[in-house]
Amino acid sequence: MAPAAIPLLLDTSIRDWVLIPIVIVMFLLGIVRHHITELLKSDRIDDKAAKAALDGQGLLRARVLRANGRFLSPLAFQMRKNFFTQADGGDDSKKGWLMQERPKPANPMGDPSQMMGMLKNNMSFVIPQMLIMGWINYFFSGFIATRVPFPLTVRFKMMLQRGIELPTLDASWVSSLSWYFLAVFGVRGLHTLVLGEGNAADQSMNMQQMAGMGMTPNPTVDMNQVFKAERENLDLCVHEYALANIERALLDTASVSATSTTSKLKQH
Amino acid sequence: MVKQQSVSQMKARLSELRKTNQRQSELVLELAEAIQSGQGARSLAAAFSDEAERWDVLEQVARAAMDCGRARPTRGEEESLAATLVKQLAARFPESNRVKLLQGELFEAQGDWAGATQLYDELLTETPNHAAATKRKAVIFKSRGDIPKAISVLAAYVQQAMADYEAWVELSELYLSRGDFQRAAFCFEELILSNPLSPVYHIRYAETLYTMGSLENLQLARKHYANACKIQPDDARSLLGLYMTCSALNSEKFIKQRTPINEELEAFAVSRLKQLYSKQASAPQLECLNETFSKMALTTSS
Amino acid sequence: MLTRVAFVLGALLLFNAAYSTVQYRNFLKMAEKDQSGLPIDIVLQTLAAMVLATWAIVEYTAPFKNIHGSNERVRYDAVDNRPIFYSFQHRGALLFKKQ
Repeated sequence: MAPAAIPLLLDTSIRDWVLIPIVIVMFLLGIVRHHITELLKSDRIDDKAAKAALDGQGLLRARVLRANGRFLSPLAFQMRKNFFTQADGGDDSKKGWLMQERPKPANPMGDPSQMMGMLKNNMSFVIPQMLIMGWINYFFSGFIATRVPFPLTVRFKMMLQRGIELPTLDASWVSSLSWYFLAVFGVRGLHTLVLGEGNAADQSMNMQQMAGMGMTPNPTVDMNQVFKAERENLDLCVHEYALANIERALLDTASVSATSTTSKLKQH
Repeated sequence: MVKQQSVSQMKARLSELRKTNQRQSELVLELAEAIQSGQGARSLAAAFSDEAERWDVLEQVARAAMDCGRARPTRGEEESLAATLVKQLAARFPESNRVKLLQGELFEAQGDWAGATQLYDELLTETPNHAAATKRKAVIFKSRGDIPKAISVLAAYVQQAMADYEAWVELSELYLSRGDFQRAAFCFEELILSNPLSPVYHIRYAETLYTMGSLENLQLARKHYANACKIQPDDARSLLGLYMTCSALNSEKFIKQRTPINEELEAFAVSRLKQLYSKQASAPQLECLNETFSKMALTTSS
Repeated sequence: MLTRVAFVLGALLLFNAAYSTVQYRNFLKMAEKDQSGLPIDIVLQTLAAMVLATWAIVEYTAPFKNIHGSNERVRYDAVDNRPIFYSFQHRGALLFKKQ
């Protein structure tokens, strides 16, 4: 049996006064965070966001053209491809839609209003997190909180056993800070149950930045790059006409089904 | 008709009508009245204890009222039913864009074009490219009978918002109503791109091409009809379309470009159609059908 | 009603089984016996509680939908309905006039 099975008897007060309160506090704090974010959220969609949404639609059409263009006649496909990627001969009006220039992404330091928006969003995540970690380190350090049920290597000791200076202790015994990290993910599920999907208490969404196609575009995405990529994809796309031999294909399927029905009839 | 059901059944029916997008306004009004009287409530809002459902229902009944001529006060009413409901919604959601849109629709139903246009313009200045407001402006022109203006508004919209397929469908219908088949075909191409596996758009595209009638159009129409037959076998509309296109291509006009596959396709369509109808029609109906087919010169025997 | 009762019962049984397990383990520790295995009745109680609670939860939430989705296909007359484009200038005002 693994050495981790050697039992250390922990005081039950740890369970009562450390583990459970941390979970409760995090859950409630998440709810508070959600409501505060809702209050602080501004509903106004400014011009830039509106334009970005339209760009998203154009990109969607280009992608759909690539994906399903084979159902259109070659002429129709070429027409649309030109619409997107036609190089202008100096004449701006003939420029393909994807050849347009978009303003470079704003330097967040330069644009004060944008920075305020970003700060506001980060405020509600970063500050409470720092506060809680400080609180836990202050009150709940220096003792073992719990044991993870699987064996861990020595490397984890540094991370999970902050404040416990026992070099020979198994890495499975962890401090309350790691219990906090576990609880972050656990409480997320509870938040989804209570607050519904996409709630503002869910930090993991904040950690994944999505490309600016939705209503709140990411100002650091360079639309020029996106356009260029789409342009190249479209240039590479070859039109394999799906309906080239559809008449023959239809007759073939018809004859196949006819022979199968006749053979079925013969069996009877 | 609705009286035998319980209140909860009627509420469920209302919710079903909401979800499946059906436009059965008379039924909705009947249900609403029955629910209100069945629960003995003072007003329709009071008859729904579930908050979320209540406001959805008010919106649904307001639109139904506008459809049934209850947008203007009838005899013996101070204020029309639709206006009352919209007022209640506005009192509950004073800053809501959705309620403002409904308010605009009420103006339209009352024939107050200026009021509606003004409201939609306000919405557009507040929220640039507010899709619904632009679309309602197009509908105002359509309602007034000014189809070209409606087309131009929608076409400008669709040039910006290229992936809004509802608008493309509406635009295609507007073009068709003006007989502008070329542009309607363009819209259908967009719709085919959006949803290539749905036979509906292929059939409509093919029908438009068949109407336009040149050799290339007929050949393309035949392809799309064939595709529709392949996706959805035993669909009478696509089979009939296939037959009509093939026989048009077999006509004297295109005698130089005749190909053997045309004859095969025509025969296939005829046999399938006869199979289909013989399965579903009774004997006298079949006789009638055969006569119709022979008058349409479906001469291939099978 | 029945499903709610069943769910509560299942949850209680589960808690009871968990508590019994903890007590049993404490007993084993104090009696310094080998800490493996559980008495069969606790295992059976856990399994029964799991089955009961699962069935109750599944039944309590919304009724099952048809796997074929055939009832959910759009009605033919509703295929072309685009609510945002509804015009109110039609004969409805006359046809559906309140008598």
